[in-house]
Amino acid sequence: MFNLKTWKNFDFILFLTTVFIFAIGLAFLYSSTYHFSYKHNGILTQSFLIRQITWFALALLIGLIIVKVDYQKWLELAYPLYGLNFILLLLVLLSGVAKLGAQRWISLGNIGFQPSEFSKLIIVLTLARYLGQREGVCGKEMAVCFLIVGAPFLLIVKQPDLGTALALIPILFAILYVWGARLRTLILIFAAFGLSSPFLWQALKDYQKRRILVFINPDADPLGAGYTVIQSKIAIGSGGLFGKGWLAGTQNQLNFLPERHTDFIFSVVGEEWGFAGAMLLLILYFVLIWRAYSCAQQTQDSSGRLLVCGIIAMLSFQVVVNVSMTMGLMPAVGLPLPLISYGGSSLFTTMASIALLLNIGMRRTVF
Amino acid sequence: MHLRLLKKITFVSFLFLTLCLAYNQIIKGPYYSQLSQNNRIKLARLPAPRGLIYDRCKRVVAGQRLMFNAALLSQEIKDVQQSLEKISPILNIPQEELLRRFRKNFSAPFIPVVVAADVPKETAILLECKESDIPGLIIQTEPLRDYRYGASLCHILGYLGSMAEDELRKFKEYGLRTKDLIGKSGVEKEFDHYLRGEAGGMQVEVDNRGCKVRVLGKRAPRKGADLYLTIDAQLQEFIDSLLEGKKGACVVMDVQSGEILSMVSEPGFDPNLFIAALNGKPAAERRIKELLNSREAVLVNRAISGVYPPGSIFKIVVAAAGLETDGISPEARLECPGSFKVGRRRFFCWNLDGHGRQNLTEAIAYSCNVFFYKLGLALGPQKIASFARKFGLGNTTGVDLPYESTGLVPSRGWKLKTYKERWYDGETANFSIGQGYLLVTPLQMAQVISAVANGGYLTRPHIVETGGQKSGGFRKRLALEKETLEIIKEGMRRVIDDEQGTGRQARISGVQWAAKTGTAQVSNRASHGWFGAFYPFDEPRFSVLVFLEYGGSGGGTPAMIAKKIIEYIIEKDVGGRT
Repeated sequence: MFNLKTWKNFDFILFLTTVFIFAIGLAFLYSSTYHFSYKHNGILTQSFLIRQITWFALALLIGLIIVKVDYQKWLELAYPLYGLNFILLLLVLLSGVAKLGAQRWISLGNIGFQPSEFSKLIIVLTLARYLGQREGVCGKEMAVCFLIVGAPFLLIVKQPDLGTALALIPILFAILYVWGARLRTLILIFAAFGLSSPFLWQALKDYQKRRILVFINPDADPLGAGYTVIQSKIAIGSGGLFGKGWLAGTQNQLNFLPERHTDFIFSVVGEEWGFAGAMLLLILYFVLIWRAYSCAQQTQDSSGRLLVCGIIAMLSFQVVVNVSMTMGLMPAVGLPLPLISYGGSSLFTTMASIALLLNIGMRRTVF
Repeated sequence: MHLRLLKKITFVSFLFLTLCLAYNQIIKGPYYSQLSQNNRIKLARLPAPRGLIYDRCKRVVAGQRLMFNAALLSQEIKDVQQSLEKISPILNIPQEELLRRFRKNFSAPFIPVVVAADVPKETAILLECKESDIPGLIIQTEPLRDYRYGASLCHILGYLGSMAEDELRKFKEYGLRTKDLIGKSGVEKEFDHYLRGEAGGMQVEVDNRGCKVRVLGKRAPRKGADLYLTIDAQLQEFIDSLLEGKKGACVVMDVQSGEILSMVSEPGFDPNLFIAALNGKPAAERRIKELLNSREAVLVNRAISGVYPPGSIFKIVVAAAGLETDGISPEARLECPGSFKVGRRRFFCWNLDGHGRQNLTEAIAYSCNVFFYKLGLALGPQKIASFARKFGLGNTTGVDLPYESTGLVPSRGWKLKTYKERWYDGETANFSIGQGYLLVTPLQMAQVISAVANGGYLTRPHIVETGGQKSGGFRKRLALEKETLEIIKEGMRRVIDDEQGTGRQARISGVQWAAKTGTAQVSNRASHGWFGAFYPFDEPRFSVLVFLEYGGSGGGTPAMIAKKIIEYIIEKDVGGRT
């Protein structure tokens, strides 16, 4: 179960890239929280930084456990995990803590966590488990998959956490496609969803509708819902080629940018490190995802491959949507940038996903 | 196999993000850079103090004093009401009023908002003591225009006010803003660009709430230039006291250079009122409303803007016309029986007993009307009008003050154009004694007297020293015969020295000076009184013109006022620079 041979296949590039991205994330978490830690306490207390580092250390520990245990064991745990997560999502709706107009949190003592973040990985695991055991494409399996995703999707939309809910869609489609579903069928299903979107619009909360309208025209409400997007675009654009320098971004340091240590942290990178820094980060993410692809290619095991593809879909969707949203190319739906945005639940999920990738990569020669 | 499509999608997405980043950061970088600068840098104006105005003896007539303002810095306040509640009893202003002012004057969180301007020094000190108890309170000091001589120089200095809309449009390109003060009349208006200086500014870095983070740059305001007047402020004050309670104007002028040593117009106002009103003093606001609504035309400078018939003082011009055009010889004597018939109408002399036979000198001294009816009819209106214009009537003198009137010199053509009627001989008779259509300003008459006194030069009057050069003393030779001037001056001397002279009451023993009286009849009311004099007789230095609206005979009160002015000039040796 654990020997030198498996460690030989440990993907150091993937691991180091992850650590590198996290390190950059820490630097910008420091920069984006510098202002209020300084201002509010008089002395430099970095509670954000300390917490993020603590979570990372914990995540490494969990990652180590995940890597040590063969991923087949984790696949076996998929259904119980799915059930547990479902209960947690229900609990959120019943007793969750409201933050920023949404109930996404469950508090344990004085730390809160977001079950919807974990849902993404657990659903990937569940789908891989379910489809990995079945050969040949048929409608029944596809319907089951839609049910597996649909139930938590509705609960998450209800919270409401539109960003996370939307992230489930590419996961589902990517896994179905790799499993062998025909592209034409998938496109038809996607189109059917598209046609039903006017009904979805009715189900949206007012603030969500506003965000989407503001995405179409940010200047309609420059001081309200459009403010964040406008300020974020200004921050990124004003960074220019090489940026204003670390800790020297005026949009960031003078507090013009809201939510800048969570969803909009990429704007801080763009402002302080400019095009060069933003590209560095994008290239690192690209390397990370590309390593995941090569892992998928080398894995013969069907459920392992599905697992890797689900993780790829999850991570790349988050990166692309988050970066697009900071540039005003997509509505501000509220999706964290993996490894960089402040937040424990997101960090745990991402680290666990990467641990699974490493795990699968190490055990690809099992057969 | 299926991975290839997913890879393509991933690759294209990342490529798309790269292109978007390049577009936003590199191509549109400068645009967003500008936007981020606009976000964080705000400008605060620092007003420039106005230049000071001095009189000829370097006495400050429009100075600067420090005013104390109670202001609130809103970025340091959590609850405005709480701060206002504490300062309201000290200032003795209701809290609602303070709140109204706070809202009205608010511009940015880092700029102090003045809630009470120009508070008394004692109150300022009291507030200063409590500054630490009241969050956000700041006692500001600000330079304020201070007119040291109050009402006595009001028409010369003018007053300050905030810009009207048209003025704002006109001055916008010179960097003036809504709240800037500009001169509304007098020297303050005429030399506004000179006195105003240049506002400075502060570049302030602000955060998202608009609160100051630090000052990035500062350009100190440039104080306006100082101005030196030809006015003698003490003489001005003295004359102002002589005219107190009357309506009229008085001009004292240096006959050689055109320097105006004094120019008084009554009734007047205290220009400090306008400053007080700008700082929200209700009493001052009420007083100004009264002034603006009064029928006395308080704001009008009667010396340059008021036009009146000159009466007999105009005989100087007619006499010059007669002598210069050979209309009469110096020796010729004309009979005055007390009245004179023109056409079917009889024109009277003021002395109904008649003056008998007299020459031109005597006719000036006794101000005989019949003599001048005859002379005027012999000359005709065109010749009189052309000499009137030669002496500068019917045109502005070019004095360096705003709102100067031209007055009116009638002629045949003018009458035809205006009334569609021909000119009558009776009107020529009236014209000869300075009545009828003719209108002049007191300053124009002072210029006429000065021209006679200085040997025939029309000298442009001015009020601001021109910094050493004599260009302000622009003068035009009238090309009059020396004899003409001598005869007129002799006549004017006898106005005072002759036992029958119309100005004999103003005689000062041991002093030789000369004058001409004027009494212009106004229908149904008391006459306008004129008295134009120059001193000393031999080598004239000053002309003094006194005009009283409905002030009776020129030889009465106006003559007595002129006498007091001459006595003052002699006593104080006016005209120097110290």
